[in-house]
Amino acid sequence: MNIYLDNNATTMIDARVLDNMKRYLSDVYGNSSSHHEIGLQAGTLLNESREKIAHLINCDADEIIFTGSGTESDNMGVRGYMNKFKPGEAHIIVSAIEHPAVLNNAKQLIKEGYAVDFAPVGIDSIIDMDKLKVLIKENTKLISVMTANNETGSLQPVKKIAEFAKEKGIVFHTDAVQTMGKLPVDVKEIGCDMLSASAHKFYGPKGVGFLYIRKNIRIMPVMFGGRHEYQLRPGTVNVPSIAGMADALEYDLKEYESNKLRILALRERLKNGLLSNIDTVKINTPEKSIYNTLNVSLPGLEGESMLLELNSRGVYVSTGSACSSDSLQASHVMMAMGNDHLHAHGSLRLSLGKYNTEEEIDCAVKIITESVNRIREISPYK
Amino acid sequence: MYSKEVIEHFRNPRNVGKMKDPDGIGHVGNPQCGDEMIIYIKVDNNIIVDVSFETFGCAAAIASSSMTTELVKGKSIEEALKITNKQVADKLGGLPQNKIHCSVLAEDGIKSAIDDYNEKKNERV
Repeated sequence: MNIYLDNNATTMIDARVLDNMKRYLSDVYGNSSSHHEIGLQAGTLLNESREKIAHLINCDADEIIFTGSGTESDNMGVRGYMNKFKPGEAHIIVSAIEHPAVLNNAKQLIKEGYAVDFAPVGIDSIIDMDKLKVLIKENTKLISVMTANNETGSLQPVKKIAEFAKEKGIVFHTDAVQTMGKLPVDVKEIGCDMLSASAHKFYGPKGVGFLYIRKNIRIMPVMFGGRHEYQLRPGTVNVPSIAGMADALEYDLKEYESNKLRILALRERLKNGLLSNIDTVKINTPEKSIYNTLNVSLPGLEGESMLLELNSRGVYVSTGSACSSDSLQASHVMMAMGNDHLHAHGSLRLSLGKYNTEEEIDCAVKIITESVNRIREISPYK
Repeated sequence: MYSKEVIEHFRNPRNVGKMKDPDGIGHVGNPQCGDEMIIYIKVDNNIIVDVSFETFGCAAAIASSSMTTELVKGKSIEEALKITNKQVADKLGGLPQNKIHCSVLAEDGIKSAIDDYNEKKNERV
């Protein structure tokens, strides 16, 4: 049995989306910028997709810029906005637990001469509003905090941050890659100025995402070329994938209630199964979290060896261990929330999706338990 | 990313566990870097007659420990000291570049166990 518990990394494409996309790829192959019939068909599908997504997240169609990924959306939003200001004259705050798409952008901005602060999180991996507020400077231009963390699933107080930013006249960007499709997203209700999303996290195709930019916010392009996407994203528009993304989001939000209840029940089953079968499990996922994610630390074992052991038995997960990363650094999220190295190296992320079944979860509990016992037998930490 | 041999030793590690009354113990690495290894040896007449290990670490660290114990078992102290991390890695069918340090740790582990044995021996003398 193959048990895929890595849905925060990517999801399997929804069969209906795939079917639709086959049609888009073969029938709507035109360049949406061409002024002939074949191009106009693609242009029409592009417009429809933009309107569909705008309607689903409660904004206007011209507030959606299509991109090639969540990372690109983050670059466009964060870098595109900061580049309006001269280095040395602008300050940005990002959370300490951002995805590398934002975090490494912030680090690069430091090198370019911008002032950057990293807002700390508590042991629940949730941003501390008071500690964020004191970071504000005269020249703070942008705050970027993710909606939900990809490793622990913690939900960040984005509405409060948006409200605070608005009060101070600061622009607020949120990376909503882990919540889009899993929760209803209403940009007006959140109050954000910019929001990033990526299709493959919600059963859509890879290589496509979007950035919402509120109407009166202007950004600098980060790429230069043709006049596509309001002159912000040059390159022939990937209409079939964009249309697939719009369909995927529509299906997800239509079926959201039932999927949420089912996935949440599966996560609780998984959590309770691990807690009752394994000695010493630390739950890293807080109460306020996205319902599909369960992050646990299993002290005494190292995540990469667990991942490999589980892989050999058909259970697919990810880890915050240093050994599994090219940089050999433990997860910045596990460390930011105050875990010691033993807990950070022994962390496993189990992220569920709509295709997981109860039978799979029961089987995963059994296999994870056996694997923990085997690896702990080898370890000096029992 | 790992060779068949690494996976095989990781899945079926040889000589695992804490040893009762070892003649030498080598403790290397630390949890901060993600790898920690304890190697136990029993020595009789200058020959490593038994060896075992406990390792906290990735698959490469576990496989390197396992392979090292296999290489030193039955060897004289002098022969065991000649075993290099490269031999360990080669016997494992190679290690990824960023995992070479695991085989270095295993070499350090056995050397440290032999050092400990020598120290204890000198104390007895």
